[in-house]
Formats: sequence, structure tokens, C-alpha cells
Amino acid sequence: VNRKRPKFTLRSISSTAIAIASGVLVLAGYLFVQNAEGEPTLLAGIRLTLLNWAIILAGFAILIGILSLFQVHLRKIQKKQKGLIYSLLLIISLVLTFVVGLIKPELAETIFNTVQLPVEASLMALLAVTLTYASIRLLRRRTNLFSVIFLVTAILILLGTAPLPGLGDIPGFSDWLRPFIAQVLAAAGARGILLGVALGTLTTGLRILFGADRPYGGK
Amino acid sequence: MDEIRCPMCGKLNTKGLDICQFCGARLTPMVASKPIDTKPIKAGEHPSKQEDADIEDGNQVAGERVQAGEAPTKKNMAELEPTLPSWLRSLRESQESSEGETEAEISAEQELPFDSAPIGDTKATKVQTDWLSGLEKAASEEEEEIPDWLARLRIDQGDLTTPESEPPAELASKPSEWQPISQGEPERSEGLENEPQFVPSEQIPGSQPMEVNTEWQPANQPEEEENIPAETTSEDQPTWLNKQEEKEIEGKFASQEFEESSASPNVPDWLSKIGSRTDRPDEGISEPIHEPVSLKPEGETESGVTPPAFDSEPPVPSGGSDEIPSWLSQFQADLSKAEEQKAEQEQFETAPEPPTKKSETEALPDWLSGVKPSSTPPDGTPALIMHDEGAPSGEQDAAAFSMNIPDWLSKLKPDQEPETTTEVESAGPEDLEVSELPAWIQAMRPVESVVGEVKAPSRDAQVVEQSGPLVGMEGVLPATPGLGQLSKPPIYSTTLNVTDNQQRYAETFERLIASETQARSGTKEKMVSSQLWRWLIAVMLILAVGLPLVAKIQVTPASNLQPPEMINAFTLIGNLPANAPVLLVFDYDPALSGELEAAAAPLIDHLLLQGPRLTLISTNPTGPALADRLFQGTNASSLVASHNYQAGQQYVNLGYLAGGPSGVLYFAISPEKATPLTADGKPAWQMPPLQGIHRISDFATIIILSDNADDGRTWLEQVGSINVNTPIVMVISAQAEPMLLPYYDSGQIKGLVTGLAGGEAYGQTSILPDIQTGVLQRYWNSFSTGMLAAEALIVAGSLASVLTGLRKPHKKSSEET
Repeated sequence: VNRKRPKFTLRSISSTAIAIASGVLVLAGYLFVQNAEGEPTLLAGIRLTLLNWAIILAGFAILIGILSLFQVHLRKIQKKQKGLIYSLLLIISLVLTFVVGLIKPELAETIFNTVQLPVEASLMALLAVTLTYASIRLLRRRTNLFSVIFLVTAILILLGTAPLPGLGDIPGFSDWLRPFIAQVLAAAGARGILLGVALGTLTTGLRILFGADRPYGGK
Repeated sequence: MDEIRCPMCGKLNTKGLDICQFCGARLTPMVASKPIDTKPIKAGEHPSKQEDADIEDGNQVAGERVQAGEAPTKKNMAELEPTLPSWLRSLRESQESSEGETEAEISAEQELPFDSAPIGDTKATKVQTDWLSGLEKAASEEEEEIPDWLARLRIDQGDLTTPESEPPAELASKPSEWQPISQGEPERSEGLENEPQFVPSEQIPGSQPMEVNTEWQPANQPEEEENIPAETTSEDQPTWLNKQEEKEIEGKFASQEFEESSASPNVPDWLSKIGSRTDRPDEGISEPIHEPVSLKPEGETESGVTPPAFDSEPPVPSGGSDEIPSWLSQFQADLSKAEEQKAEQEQFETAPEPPTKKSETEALPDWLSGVKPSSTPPDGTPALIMHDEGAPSGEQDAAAFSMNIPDWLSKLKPDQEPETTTEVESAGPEDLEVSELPAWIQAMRPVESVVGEVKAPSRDAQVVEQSGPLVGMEGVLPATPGLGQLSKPPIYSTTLNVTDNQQRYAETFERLIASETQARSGTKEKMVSSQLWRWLIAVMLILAVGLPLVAKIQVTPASNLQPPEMINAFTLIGNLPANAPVLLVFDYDPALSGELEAAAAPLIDHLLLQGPRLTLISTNPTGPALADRLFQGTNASSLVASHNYQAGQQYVNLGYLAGGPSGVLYFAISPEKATPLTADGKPAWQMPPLQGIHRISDFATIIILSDNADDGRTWLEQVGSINVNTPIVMVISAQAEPMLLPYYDSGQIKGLVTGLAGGEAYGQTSILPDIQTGVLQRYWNSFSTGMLAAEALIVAGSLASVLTGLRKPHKKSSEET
């Protein structure tokens, strides 16, 4: 029987009440940190407790994420899906690192320095090559004013970031043009973005406090 | 009820008696009309079939039909003889004595085609027709070469001519004889012309009337009362008998005494009322039915045509014209009109020949043979058509279909008579135009024209289904052919209506499908060339970056740039007191560890020179490992590693701080509760580097190493919300500079070192002894050459792309030409 779910359930009501109460208490803890004697207030203590719970839950979420990753790839191995070898490699690495970390923590640091760090650094290096190739192909793909502006800006920043071999800093680029582009033009846009992010965060916080948004459940 | 009330005297009689025991009047009608004739057809009833000949003949009531050329069967009325009064029987006896003299005349009467038992008005006419017909027969013998059928016809007509004094109500009151009367009316007018020759005779009718009177007396008695004179009315005799006696004595001239008889006080009221009526229905016989044919002469009479027959008739009509009631004058006008019409018919009837008529009748089919004789003999075939000419269009259509009118429909005519009357009266000139058409022209009329004139039946005239599953249901199907306007079904085009956009999309889709099946030789070449270019670019960059590292060639001189944010950071670090607690946050990924380690090495080296107590923490899971790598590994930075800082002694690694912003806030509020243990699982806050540290404000400075603007912003926002006066110095990647530089401009960041260039500048500022030989110098050379190679590739490639793009239109244009 297809029954319409009620708009308000005990679960949604309780979760909304908890979320609003937590937000109000943490916000009140910002305002009422300590009393006249300089001692922390009850609201500050409650806020601190809630923050501690949040940290625990976040740490536990990482653990759950690791377990989920392990389960997903283990299932792929069981079903013999495409990319089986990579899933197998991931699970072996995960289990090995975990075991090594429990048995011999020093060896785990070696694994990190010799495997994880070079791999990630190499991927970042590939990004440099890819960006260079994309810049070369940009005008072939899209020849317009903004492409030209993009390429010219990139070249100017590169010229101003590092001195030329054998020549050193290029006058005008490193001391004026590059700082102007990075700290004036780019910073102006970044400030707008930051202001937008701040207003969005404030609005989202208020909506959650008023119960308009319930990302934790319920509609 | 076991008793029957006498219609004459009003006394009660025992049921079963046919004759009133008080007055001798007949209690039950001598001839009862067929129920199907008199009973109106109601809605939903199934009409019974009846022969058309019966309807048109008017003798259907009697049960026996008299065909053309046949003599009517004489009915035995001897049983009614005792009911006659004595004087009438004596009169009969006296007539029998002279029977031999009139035998020839009687034989002629027996050959009359009339039925011996008419009802209604015909009984009245038959009283006179019997003896008048005898005179007619005698008169007809004098004529030369008259056919038998015409002689009979004229005899019939002569029968109807006598009763001028007979009220027309009698004609109209008979339900079943309307058709014969309609045919006989013109004949009556003809008979009137000869009336003075034989009407005065009183002996002649005496031979036949008894047979007739016994048939019509009970039912027709009220009408006959009109003709009874007052002085001849006897109390000891029945009224009807007085009337009959007077009628036989005075004959037609009794109409002159009509007023006296009607004014007689001895006559009962009901009888006098009857005399004043014109269309009173006959009570004992059937329902009142109006005479349809008499309507047409009536309409024609209104046009002012005066029949000449009445002008030549001295005794009855003209003598009392002033005293004759309106209905009687109307009737006279009808008779005159009928006379004219009869004259025309006679002229037209010269064409048909009597001998061939019978042969034609035999050639007709069976169903038509029963109709033809009954309809044709009195008037002849053309005369019938002439009668129908004045009918409404519907009847004309029926005539066009030649006798296809069903029996039940013809039977409905008497009931629908009033409606027909109104139609005739309102028809007017249209019908007159149609009536001018001869019969043979009407027969040539196309069927479509007749059908087109068929009017759609009204909702009242619903048809009862007689067959099929809808039997008995009324008005289910329309009476007219077709259920409405019939038209050809619309023709829909089988072509697909496609808009231009849809057509374009379809073509594009077809091209895509076609391209799937085509070989991609050209595409492979392009892919090979693009991969080649990628490899070429990678090789060039690797060589540009790797050669300085491998060869350790100093190709790039030191930078002379001194950014102000770097100077502030350097000043802040340089001003730290000895053994000052410093919080060092490692929030960067291993992927950018090369840039961050190279950028932070001069600053940390400068910091360690101050001898601070370091507390390491990270919001990134890999941060603690990177922190240990920076302080303990020799590969990251020889500058930092050279200070030989020991974990637990000079610095404490608190490990990973979960929770993101919440964790940072919690750590800012209560560092001890947020990270009670070190990365090794030991109690952190009991170690020497953390002595005296209870809150974040207890740190002398906070140095944040971050490659992500969001992570750096989180620390700035959460720590700054506690109103901490602890200065914050950030070493960031070059990619996060635009997003974090506003915080420096706002004062939330006291010093900022950006990227490899900032670290190299910080190193040049601190004038460290190993700055030229350290990892930062090697990175700097590789960084410089790699940047130059990238710049060269981008410029060269962009120019090549532009030139290639410019060549393509030329190639296309040349190929087209």
C-alpha cells in the first residue's frame, strides 16, 4: 500500500530540535564565554562539550570512510569487476600499512616517505606538464580574447615569479607586474569570493538554526 | 354490470339483449367497427397490418370486401323484421305487392358495389342510395354505351347525391368510411343534378330501406332526429321510428321542416342537442373520426367557388339558404367543389378503357391486385392521382414510391386527420404548383428530388423498431436514412510533419551514426601527433628541471626581491624570545611538500635558531608524518634537520586534529582537551615543550604551513574568533596566495611567505651560511629553468596554434576552388 509519508515524523522533529539547540548553544557560547569573575560560563562548557563530540564524530567518520573504502574494493574483487587489480593493490597496501603501523611504526613512516609522498608529488608534476600542454592548445581550440588574456597573464606571472636563468629578475615583471596581478587584481576577485562565502555561511547557519534547512534529515 | 342502458330511452335492460325491451331500440351496434380501425395507435404499440384496399374502400368495417365488378352480398335481415313496427311492416307488405314492378330496379341495386352493412354516415346514405340507385340504374339504362364500371360508379355517385338535408356531421362522424365518402362526394354532386327526376318518388325507396335501417338505426338515430317533424312525432312510437317514417314520407323535402322539428317541445333535450351538432360522434359504433376528404372541398369552397349544382336545385338548399346553419352551407360548398372536380375527372377518365382495366389488374402482382381494384373503380386511376395532388409533400413522396406506404401508416390517417387539415390549409401555393403536374411527369421525377424533400421526423414522431435487437424500442434509430450528415472520412496524410529544427537534428544524428561506421585513419594520425607533442613537452620540462638538479649547475642568480609580508614574517620570527612556545601547523599535502618544505625551511631554520618550544599539529591526516619528516629527515631540508630537534624534548607532535573547523575551534579554546595525546600516544601536556600551555593564547606565535586557502582560512577564522593576540605567520603555496593575501592585508596574518620564491627571498634575507648549497638553491635553479621552458613552450605553442588556425581557412578555400 502506497501511503504518503507524513510531513513531520518523530525522527525529523527530534533531529531538527537537536540541530537547532546545538547551534544555539554553540552560538551562545561565543557570546557568553565567561562570567564577571572571568570563569567560563555554562554555555561555554556546553559549547566545548559539543565541539568535543564533533571532533570525535569526525575522527570516527574517517575510520568509517576507511572501512567503506576497504569494503567497496573487496566487493569489486569478489565480483571480479573491471579494475580488479587496482582494487587488490589498494587492499594489500591498506592492510600492509595498517599492520606495519601497528607492529613497527617507524617502518610506516618509511613507507610514507618512499611511496606516498613521491607518488603525490609526481602527480603534481604531471599537472605542470598538462597545464603547459593545455596552454599551448588553448589558442588552437578557442581563439578569442579571453584565451589570449589567460595566456598572457600566465606568461607574465611565470616571468615574474622566477628569474630567468642567467639573467635573473626581469625588471618590471618581478617587482611590479607580478605583485600587481597577484595581489591587486587576483586579490580583488578573491575578496569578493571570500565575502560571498562568508555571507553564504552566515545564511546557511541561520537557516539551520531556524529549521529551514535540515541537511541532517527530514524535509 | 349486468344491465345495459338503452341509448334511446335510457332505461336499463338485461345484459345479453340485443333490443331494448322498452323501446325496441337496438342495444348493441349492428356492426361494430374493427378495433384496429378505430383504436388509435399509441406510442409503443405495434400497428397491425391492414389491407390498403380495406382502408380505401371504406367497407373494411363490414368484414367483407366487395371487389370491383362484384355485387354486394345481401344480408339476411329477416331476424330484425319483428322489431319493426306494424305500420312499417304493413308498408313493407304493400311494397312487396309492387315488387314485381320494380324487380329490375332491385336487381340493379343488388349489383351495387357497396357493402350491405355500412356504418356511420354511409348507412344514412345507403338509405337513400338503395332506392336512388335504383333510379340511377333506370336512368343509366337510357344512356348509350356506358361501360359497366362507369355505370356502377355513377350509380354509386348517385347514391350519395340524395341526402342534401343530411347533415355533414354524419359523414364526418364515421371513422372507417372516410375514404369511400371522399370518393363519393364528387359523385354526390353529380347525383344532385339528376335529383329532381327521381327524388319525389316515395315508393321506390320503400323496397330496400328496411334492410338498411336495421343496420344503422340504433347508432344513427340521434342524427336522424333532425329530420323528424314535430307534428308527426308520436308518443307511442319511438323517436327514431318517427324520424324514419317522416323521412320515408317526405324524403329530401324534410329539411324544410327541420326547424320545426328541432323547435318542438316534445323532443327531448338531448335529442335536440344532437340536432344542433355538426360533428357529434356516433356513440354506439366507434370513435369520432373526421372526414378527411371533405376538408379539401372545404378549402376550395373558401376560395369562392360556387357549385352550380346547388343553383339548379330548387327544394332543399336554396329554399332555406338563410336558415341553413353554417356547417350546412359549408357542406354545400364542399359539394359544389366536388362537383367541379368530378367534372374534370370525367373529362380525364375518357382515356382509360374498361375492358383493358381488368387485364391490367390481372397483370399486377398479388399484393397490388388487392389494392388496385379497391382504389380505382370509384374514380378511376387518374382521378386518384388528382386527389393526391393536393396532399402535402410527404404524401407526394409516398406517391413517388408507388404504393410503398405501409398499411399501418395509411391506417394512421384518420387519427392524424386534424394535423393534415392544418397542413393543407397552410400549404398554399406550393401544393397548387405541385398539383398541376400530371401523373406521368410525377412518375418521371428523380428519386433524389423526392428524397430531398423528405423532412426529418419530429421528435414526437418516433418510430418503433419492429425487428432486430431493438424491437419494441421507440426513437432509438432515426426514421430518416443516415444518422446525420454523412461525409467522406478525412484523409490523413501519411507523410511525417517535421519542423526545420527536427530535420536538422535528424541530419546531425545521421551524420553521427555515419561517422561511427567510417574509418578513423585521420584521427589516429591526430592522436599520434598529439601524444607525440605531449611526450615532447614532458621531455623538455623534465630536462629543464632535472638538468640543474643533476648537474648542480648554478644557472639562476639569487633573487633580489624582498616582499613586505616576508619581511614582516622574518621580523616576527627574529623577535621571538628564547624558549618561546610556538605552535607549528602542518596543513599541506604530500603532493606539495616539495614546495612547502623548500619555502618553510629558511623560516623554520630561522625559528630554530631562536630555540623555541615547538608544538606540531595538523588538520591533515598526513600532516604528522610530514612534520616528522621535516624535523627528522635529512632529505626534506638539511637546514631544519641540522638543528637536531628531538621529539618530546624540543617539540611535541600532537598528531592529527579531527573535526575541521570544529576541531580547530575546540583546540583554540582548550588545547589540552582537544589533543590530550601525542602522535605516539603519549600524554602530550606533560611534556616539556607544552609546559605552561593551557590555551592557544599561551603560544608566542602560530606558524601555519598550508597549501590550501581553505585550511589557512579555517585557522585564521577559528583562532581569531577567540580574540587571541598571538601573531600568525603563514607559509603558503603560491597557488593560495590570492586567497590568503587579503587576510594579510587585514592584519590577521602578521607575516606571509609565499611559495618557493618567498622562501628563497626569506633565505636571502636571513643570510644563512648554507643558503647557496641547500635544497632551496637546487630547487631554485630547477624552478627557474623549468619556468623558462614552460614559458617558451606556451609561447611557441600558442603561436603555432594561431598560425595553424589561420592556415585552415586558406586550405578550405583552396580546396573549394
